[in-house]
Amino acid sequence: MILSIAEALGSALTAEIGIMRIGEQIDSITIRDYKAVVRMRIRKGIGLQEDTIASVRTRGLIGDKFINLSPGSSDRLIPPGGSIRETESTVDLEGLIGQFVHGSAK
Amino acid sequence: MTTEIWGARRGWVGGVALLMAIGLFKPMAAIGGEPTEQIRGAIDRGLAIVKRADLQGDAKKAQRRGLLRKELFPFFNFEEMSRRSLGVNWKNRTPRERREFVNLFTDLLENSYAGKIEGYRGEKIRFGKETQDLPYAEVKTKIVTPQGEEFSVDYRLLADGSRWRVYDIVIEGVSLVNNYRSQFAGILQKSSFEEMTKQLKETVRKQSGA
Repeated sequence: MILSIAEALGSALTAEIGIMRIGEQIDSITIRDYKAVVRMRIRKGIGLQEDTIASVRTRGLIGDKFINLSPGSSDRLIPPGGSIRETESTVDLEGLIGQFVHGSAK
Repeated sequence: MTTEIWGARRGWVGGVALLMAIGLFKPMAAIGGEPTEQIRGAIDRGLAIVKRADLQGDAKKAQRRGLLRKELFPFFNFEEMSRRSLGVNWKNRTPRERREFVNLFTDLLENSYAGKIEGYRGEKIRFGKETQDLPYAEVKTKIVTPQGEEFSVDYRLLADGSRWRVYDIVIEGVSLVNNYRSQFAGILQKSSFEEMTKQLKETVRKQSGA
């Protein structure tokens, strides 16, 4: 997955779906074209849909960073070694801002 | 051997560059390519409608929205947005439930996008980098307010036949699809799909000012 450069450079990154940790090993974080390219291992048996969205989130306001994977609707899965196309950069208070800019479903 | 290949490749690139320079060859994926032109066209049409002197005010709302639907919304792939926004919860829905959801969510998105574009107050739109990785593309834009504030708005598009249609809008790093995906997931964790549909209907009703 490719993220903007200002983020994702912590060493304590994990990947999670909901509260479940599904990947713990960041293989490498490299810079390509002013963006961070994060390679990580995902636990075996977990199929990630092609439209899975990866976002860098922070636990609480000052907690560790982790990569949140929100499962998609596609029938196609990302093959082993493939990459997550849909990404979001770190935003402060992302949920609130999201609801403000796009509108709320409630 | 390697140098020869490189030499040949350089020659080819040089040739293409020359053709471009004399205007015989139009690169597909260059900045300002097809997806960018499509977004630019859509925004121009949308703004032309909301700026029309004879379409101002609440009394003209229905007519204005009708025109936006005809001129602007064909550039949006609301079905893809709906499917992606429901995320993993799309799978267990019946075809009828899916149709109902797509219709409702399309209304919600149309109303909210129309509301945003109707709030236009002279902001400038700057086009940035375009990337293509067929069938996907991304067009980065910046909205600059008259006060000089900047917001990034990135359009993600899917090739659909001969045109490109938007399936996600990322504002200041926040994806529209992911915003709704987490909201829907949150609602569905606590209540039923029927309950969620009811809430959506209520939201759309309020938006329409009925």
